[in-house]
Amino acid sequence: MNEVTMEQKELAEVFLERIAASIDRILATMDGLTQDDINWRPPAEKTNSLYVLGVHTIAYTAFVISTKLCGKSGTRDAEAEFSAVGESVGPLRMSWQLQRKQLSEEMAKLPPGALDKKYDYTNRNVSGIEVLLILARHAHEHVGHAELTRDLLKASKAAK
Amino acid sequence: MNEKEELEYIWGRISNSVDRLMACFDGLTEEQVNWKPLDNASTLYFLAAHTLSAVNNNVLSTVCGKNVSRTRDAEWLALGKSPAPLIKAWTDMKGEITTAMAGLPANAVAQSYPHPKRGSIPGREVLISTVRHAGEHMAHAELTRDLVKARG
Repeated sequence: MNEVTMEQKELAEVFLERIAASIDRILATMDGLTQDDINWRPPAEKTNSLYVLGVHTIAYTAFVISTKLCGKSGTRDAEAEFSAVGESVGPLRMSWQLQRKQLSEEMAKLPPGALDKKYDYTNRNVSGIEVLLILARHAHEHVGHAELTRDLLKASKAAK
Repeated sequence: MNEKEELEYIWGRISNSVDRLMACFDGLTEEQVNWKPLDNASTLYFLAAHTLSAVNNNVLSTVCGKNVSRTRDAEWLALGKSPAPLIKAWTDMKGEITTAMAGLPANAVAQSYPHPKRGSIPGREVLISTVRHAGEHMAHAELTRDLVKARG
């Protein structure tokens, strides 16, 4: 077995690529859908529309990277994320492309040791690597929600 | 965080996802466990079986190097329709992986391993893929559970 050493900058970008790929998949579920479609919710309590899943995953990812790893100040309105209604995926995708670029640039400037440093995350002390792992799972969790929601939506429309 | 801690933390994320997936069985009938929200979607039983296969193959076999038979989804599906054998298999597998991980070298996440489908691949890549895969199916399972409960 060969050992592959990875610098912090490279490691951060590997994680960001995974997270971004998940967000891209969430946004792709809305391609070709109408306004009603992207705001449709599956018939169960506390389910979310595709648009909400996209808005929330982008907002949460950007907030955590920016305020934890990059040490910037910021606030987040979770209630607004989960009640968001959109007209189309286009503006959301444009917003994400911009934020993705900014996040990559900010993470490239992280000081040495930033991924080993401990951060306060929901009342726990977690390392920078752990923060990125949490975000990677979080984003992909919502890929699962989004792709099943899209399939349910299509079946619901076909049944009408 | 050193690489040993990173390994333990990644495993913690994977096992947490599978724990949450298995918890979806709580209080459901066998009929509900084998219900599909769509013809081309998966039952809770299948999601659990498929996720266990992936964890077994990627973590226990590839990274931990245990000489386990590489399970396929069909093997789990052949166990029947009750979730009990899957829950037991997960309990056993979790213990086995936790023990095996404790014996891995400190740089296990940085080493490359032969993967049957992906060639030589760093442990970190294998494990992060497994984190994402288990998280995705945990989400499928939780939404499927909510739908089956809403159906009554």
